[in-house]
Amino acid sequence: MTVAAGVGYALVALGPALALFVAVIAKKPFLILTVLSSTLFWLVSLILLSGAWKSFLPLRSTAIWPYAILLLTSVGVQEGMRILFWRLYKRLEDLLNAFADKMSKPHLFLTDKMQIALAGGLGHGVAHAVFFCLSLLTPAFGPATFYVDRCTQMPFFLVSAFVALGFVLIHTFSMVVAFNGYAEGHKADQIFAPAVHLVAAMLTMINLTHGGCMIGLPLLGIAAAFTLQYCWRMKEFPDLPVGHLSDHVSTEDAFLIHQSSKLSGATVGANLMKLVTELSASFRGKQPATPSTNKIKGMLDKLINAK
Amino acid sequence: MDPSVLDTLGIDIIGVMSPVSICMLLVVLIVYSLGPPSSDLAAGANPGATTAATLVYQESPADPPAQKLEGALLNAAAFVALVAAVTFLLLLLYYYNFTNFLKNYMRFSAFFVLGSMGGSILLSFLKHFSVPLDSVTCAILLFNFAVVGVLSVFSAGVPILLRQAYMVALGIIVAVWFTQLPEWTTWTLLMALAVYDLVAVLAPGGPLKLLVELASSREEELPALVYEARPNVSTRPATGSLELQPLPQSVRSSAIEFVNLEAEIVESTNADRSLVEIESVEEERSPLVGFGGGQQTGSTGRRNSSSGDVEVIEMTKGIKLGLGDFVFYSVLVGRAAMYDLMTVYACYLAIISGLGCTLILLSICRHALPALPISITLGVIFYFLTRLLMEPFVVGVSSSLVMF
Repeated sequence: MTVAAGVGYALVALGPALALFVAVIAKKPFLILTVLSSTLFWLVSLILLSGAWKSFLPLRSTAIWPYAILLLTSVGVQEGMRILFWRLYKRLEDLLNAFADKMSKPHLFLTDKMQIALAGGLGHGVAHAVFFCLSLLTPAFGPATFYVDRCTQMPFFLVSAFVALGFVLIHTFSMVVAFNGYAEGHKADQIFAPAVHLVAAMLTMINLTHGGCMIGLPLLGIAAAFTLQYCWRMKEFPDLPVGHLSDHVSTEDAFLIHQSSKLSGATVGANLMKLVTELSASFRGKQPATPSTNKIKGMLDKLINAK
Repeated sequence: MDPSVLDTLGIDIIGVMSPVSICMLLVVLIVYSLGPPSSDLAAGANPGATTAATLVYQESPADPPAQKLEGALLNAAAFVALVAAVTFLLLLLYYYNFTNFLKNYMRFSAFFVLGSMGGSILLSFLKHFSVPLDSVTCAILLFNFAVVGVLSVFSAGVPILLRQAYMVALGIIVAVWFTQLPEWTTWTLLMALAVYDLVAVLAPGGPLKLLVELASSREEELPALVYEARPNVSTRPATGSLELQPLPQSVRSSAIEFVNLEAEIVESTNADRSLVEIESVEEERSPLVGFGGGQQTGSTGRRNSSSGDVEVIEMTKGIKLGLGDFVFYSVLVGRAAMYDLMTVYACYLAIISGLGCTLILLSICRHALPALPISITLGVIFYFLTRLLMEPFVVGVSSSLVMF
C-alpha cells in the first residue's frame, strides 16, 4: 500500500511533466538534450545557493524574514540562470540556423523555438520536482508516512508533491513566456517569469504557519493555472485547423494547436484547463464567452470525435 | 511541413546516452532493491574476500580516515597496474595475430560473467523476494541466457537490439559486482581509472592508443566488448531491418576510434576459491565529419527505423562506447544510490553531461578519446557537492515546506 502511495506521490508531482515529455520532447532527440542541460543548469544554481547558505543553516528561528531572504536570493539566482540559459540558447540558435543552411534545410520554425523553450522550462520544472519532492520520497515507500507539525491535514509527501506539481507547471510555461518576451522584446513577458516565480515561492511561506498548507496549496495551484493562462493568452487564437504556421501566428497558441493536431494528451489537458478557466470566468459574468472559448469547444469536439 | 533540423539532430548522442541511462537506472534499482552491500550478494561481499580491487588493503569501517585513504590509494594503484599489465598482454596477443584466441577468450569471459555473476545476482533476487524456483529450471534458464549472450557478442546475424541488450546486461552485472567494493576504494578506484584512461588513450605509447592504431591499420574490428549504437558495415551484412551502403574508402580512413579502458578483475572468494576473470575492452569508434553538434554528412544511408521509413543523411557508423564506460558510470551511480536518491540524480546529470562534452569533443578532435575522465570527474565532484552542501540545504528548506 505504501508503495502505491509513493508511486502516486511521484505521479502527482511529475505526471504532467511525464505526459509532456512523452508527447512532445521524446520525439526529438535535441529536445531531450535541452531538457538534460536545463536540468543541469538548475542543479548548478541549487548547488551555488546551498554553498552560499551553508553557514546560515539550519534556520531555527521562528521569524519569517530569514525564509523571505532565502527565497529572494534563491529566486534571484535562478532567474539569473534563466537569463544565462537564454543567452546560450541564442548562440545555439544561430549555430543551428547556420547548420540548417549547410544542410539546405529550412531555418528553425517558430514551433521549434517554442519547443526548445518548452524543453528548457520542463528541465527546470523537473529538476525542482526531482530535488524537492522525488529525492525526499524514499521514506514514503517504507512502512509508514510522515506528517509535519505545521500541516496535520495531509502527509508531508503529499504536500511536497502538490508543491512540485505547481512548480513544474510554473517553470515549464513561464520559460515559454520568458523566451518569447526576450525574443520579441516584450517587457511585460520578461518580467512575468521572475514575478510569478517569486510569487509562487512566497506563497509557500504560508506553509510556515500552522495549518497554512490548506491555504497555500490552492493558492499555488491558482498561480500555476494563471501561468498556463498567461502563456496561452500571449497571442490571439488563430483559425483552425492549422496547416502552415507563419511567423506572426506566434507563441504557445500556435505551438499548442500544432501539437493538438497530433492529438497529444498533454496539450489536450492544457486546452481543457484553458476551457475551464474561461468558462468559469464567463459563468461568473466577469467576462463574456470569447470566440476562443467557442473555438476550443469546437476543437475539443473534433478531438473527441477523432478518438 | 518540411522537416526541420531539429527532427534528426542529436540522434546519435541520444543513441549512446539512452543505453547508458538504462544501464545506470537498472544498476540503481538493483542496488536499491537488494539493500545495503554485503547483505545478499555472494560475490565479493564476504568480509575478508580478496578481489583484484582490494588486493592490498581490506577496508573496515573502524579504521581512521588516513589509513582508509592510504589503503584505498594502494588498492587503486594495484588495480590500475593490473589493468595496464593485462592491456599490454592483450596488445601483444593482438600484435601477433592471436585474434581468434582473443575472441574466444572474450566469449568465455562473457559466458562466465553472464552465467556465474549474473547467476549470483539472480540468486540474491530470488532469496530477497522469496521466489520459489527449482534449481533445474533456474540452471536451464541461466544457461540459455548465457549461451545466447555469448552468441550475440561476436557473431554476425544477431539482431542489433539483442546484441545491445546483452551489452547493457554485461555492463549491469559487472557494475553491480563493483558496487560491492568498500566506499573509499570505490572512489579512489574511479578516479585512478579515469586518469589511467586519459593516459592510455591519449599519451604516446599508451596501450589503448597503440591497440587502436594497430586495429585501424589492419582495418579490423577490435576484439573487444563494445556497445554499438548502430550496426557496423563490416560485421553486419544487412541482416536486420537496418541497412547501410558500403562506405567509400576515404570516409573509412577518417574513422575515429576510441579505446577507453580495459579491465581485468581477478576475484577469489573465500567460499569456493573460484577464480573469476572478466575482461572488457572498451572502444569507441565514430567517424565524425564537420559540424560540432555531431551530425555529419558521411555517406547517405537508408535506414528503416522502427518508427517508419526515414531517409536520413547520417554518419557511416554509429558512435561506439566501450563497455567499461558503462560499467564505471554505473558503479559511480550505484555507489551514489547507497547514500541517497538526491546524489543519484546529481551524479546522473553530471555523468550524462560529461558524456555529452566528450561526444562534442570527439567531433572536434576526430581521434580516439577517453570517455571516462570528464564524466567521472564531474560525477565525483557533484557527488561530494551534493552530499556536503546541497542535501542539508534542500532537506532543511523543504522539510519546513518552503520551496522555490
